[in-house]
Amino acid sequence: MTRHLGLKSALTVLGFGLSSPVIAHPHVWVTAKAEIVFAPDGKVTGVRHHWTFDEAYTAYVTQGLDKNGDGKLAPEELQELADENAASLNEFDYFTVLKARGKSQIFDTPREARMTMEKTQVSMSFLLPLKAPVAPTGAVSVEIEDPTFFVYFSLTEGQAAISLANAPQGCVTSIAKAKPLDTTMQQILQDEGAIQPQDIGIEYSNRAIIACP
Amino acid sequence: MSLMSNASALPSAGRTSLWRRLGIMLAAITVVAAAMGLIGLWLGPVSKPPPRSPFGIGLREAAPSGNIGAWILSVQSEYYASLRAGVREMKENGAAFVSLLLVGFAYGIFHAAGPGHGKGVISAYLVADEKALRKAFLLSLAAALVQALVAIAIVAVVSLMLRATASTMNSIALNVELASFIAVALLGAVITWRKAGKVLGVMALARNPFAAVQENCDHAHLPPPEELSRLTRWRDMAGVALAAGIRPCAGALIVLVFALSQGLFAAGVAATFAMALGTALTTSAIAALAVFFKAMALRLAGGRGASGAIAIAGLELLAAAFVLVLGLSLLYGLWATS
Repeated sequence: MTRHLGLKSALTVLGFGLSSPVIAHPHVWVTAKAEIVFAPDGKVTGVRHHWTFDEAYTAYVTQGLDKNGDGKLAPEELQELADENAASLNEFDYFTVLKARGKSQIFDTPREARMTMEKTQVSMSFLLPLKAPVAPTGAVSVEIEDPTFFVYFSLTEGQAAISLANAPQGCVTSIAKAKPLDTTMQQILQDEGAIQPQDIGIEYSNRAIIACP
Repeated sequence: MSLMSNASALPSAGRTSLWRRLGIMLAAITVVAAAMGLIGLWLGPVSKPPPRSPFGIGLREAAPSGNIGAWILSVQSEYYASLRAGVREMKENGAAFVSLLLVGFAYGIFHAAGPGHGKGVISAYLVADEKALRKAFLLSLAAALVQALVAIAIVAVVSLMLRATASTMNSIALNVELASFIAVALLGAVITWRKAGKVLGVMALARNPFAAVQENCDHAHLPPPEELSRLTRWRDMAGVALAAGIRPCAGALIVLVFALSQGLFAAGVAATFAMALGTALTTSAIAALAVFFKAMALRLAGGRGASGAIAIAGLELLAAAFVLVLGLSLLYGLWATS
């Protein structure tokens, strides 16, 4: 009986030990662009993502999909993959954190997932709707990141990285981009002890803050 | 395996010792599980399978933590990026082949520096069973080669021959992953059973040195023919190399498919083997540590008579139980996150 108890508590402890985050080195590189979508009443309804994947991952994920064998990948040939990818993103919280007045919002299942080939790189776009539209008064922030670090997200150049669709007059966006991989890592080394590895995700975050009057 | 037959040959009088052996086995598992759980609370998980990777790459990838971990991570990232760049470059310039191999080797060294169950399995097996440095190197190399061969075989069959999709490749890779975790658990069960028998035997011997030969003692007093023990040893080694190595790494799969898409499959295969050599180097270093640890423990125990022998047998039992707990918790992790 006591042994049983011991085993049980050991398993429980083990279970707890099993639940902290682990990071990996990037295997997939994504260049991200996002559009914050507003409803006519001025509320934020969701995020439209546009992610472009790196060449090697493109080769990996598109293998065998050229059904008609014409050497090109048409959007139709990629549709199943797009749906699959979008559907499985819920396990990763869509790599997206949208906060209104500092409160994380909940997303609904993604819609309108599409994939297209641009030369040697595949892109995926999808609409990530909010469960409940939220007013942009106060500040709305959007972050695109993978805390486990398996996917390395970086925003595209310039202000276009995070844009606003149908936003009310006077909304402004301020974008903070992740530093390049090497510099940030060097920084971590310099500040040895100052930064915990768990903070890497924060350090790397691609964030935009949207303020509306 | 050989020990199982050993156990089933027990006479009926040995039934109590069979239960005692199972009891000792369970106790060791409990101790190891509790210790790993505590360490997991304190330092972060010891044996958690890393999270399932997104975008249809089902395999998990773990990385080291801590500041040294961050450094390893950054070096790894760089080499991985150069690996992909190297494949791209080779398309234009065949001379890039040598640098591709070097980069693959370096990537292997650093990639293996992260946590992975393979190193745990090999090290624990070495503590539990042998203390030969040569065996440590051999096992590390074998496990790394198995890993490379599995990745190459998956890509060759799925991508080259069947022209199947990434999702087919993923489901195969995931099944291989499941098989590898089962192999770790099985290996752990076999050596834990064996070591539980040894603990009983040593204890009985300590109690009464003139007692008759214990049936549950592993050390056969009539040694089996040389070939037979060599056969068991080879089977053991193969088991360890398989358990430690058959799970392919996602990075190797991506690089291989990328190389194939550029018409450079052979170069990708060569780079994968270079990676395996790098991996073997790091794993060997860790395995050598395990061997030195065991040798030190043996020296400490030496000259302490029976209690020393029991302590060593207990240490071996715990190391064996570690492999079993590792395998079970990896399986539990798969089940819990599926």
